[in-house]
Amino acid sequence: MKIWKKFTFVFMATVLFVGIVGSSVSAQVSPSKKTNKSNLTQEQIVLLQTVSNHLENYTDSEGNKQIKIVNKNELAHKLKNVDTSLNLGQLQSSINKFNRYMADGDNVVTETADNIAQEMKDNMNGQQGGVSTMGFSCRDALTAIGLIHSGSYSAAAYLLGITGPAAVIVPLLVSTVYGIASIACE
Amino acid sequence: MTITPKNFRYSYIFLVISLILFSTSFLSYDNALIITILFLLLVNITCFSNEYLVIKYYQKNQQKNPNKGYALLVMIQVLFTLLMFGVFKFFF
Repeated sequence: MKIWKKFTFVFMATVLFVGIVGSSVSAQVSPSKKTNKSNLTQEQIVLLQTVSNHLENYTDSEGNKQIKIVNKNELAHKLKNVDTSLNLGQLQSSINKFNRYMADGDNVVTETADNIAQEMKDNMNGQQGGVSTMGFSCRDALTAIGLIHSGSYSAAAYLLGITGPAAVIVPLLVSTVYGIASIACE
Repeated sequence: MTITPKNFRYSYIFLVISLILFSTSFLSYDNALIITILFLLLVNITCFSNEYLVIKYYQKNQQKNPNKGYALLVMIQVLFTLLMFGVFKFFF
């Protein structure tokens, strides 16, 4: 039965080697998943800089702060070169809305709030009687795995005839860790 | 037939290996410390408790060779660790 001993040793050595080499390689190769705090891609940053370079603020005759686009032709040309669906017309429309809000603030807010409330009411009416879909969240997954994992310990302890504190503490401990992990879920 | 901490040879090795391999795996996440601690806690509790079951089983059946049980333990533990790593990477 020395072959099992050799097999175990070779297996562990291989896992350790592959793990150490793999983790250092993956740390270099794989992109960081959540370090980009601003959540903006490179294209979005370029777009942001392009647009902000062509905006200018001024005060109108009634003393309201307003924004206008300068060098429209140049901006339109630059927007075509940037990989975006935004065009000059859409940008102008957004700026007009912003200027309207700045000039006529309170009325626009009330009007927008009324519109949103009406829209939500319509959506609620449309959804009544519909069937909602079931999502499988992180919490659900960890709960299911934790249940199977701690349950399998109880089953193994029973099958091996193990009694005493270990048979009680281990499943409890495992399910506690899964519980904490499900709380830490996003 | 008591079980002493000295009996958990594989679990100690696994603890060191898992610390080396996975201590930096979740650094880019928002709750990096909590996720790393939870992951290491989970795989190592599993390892110690599995080895406890193996030791108990072979103490009861002394005519059987424990090497086969240990080989199975190592394989199951590696598979479980990789599975949990995948789950943590996917869901967190």
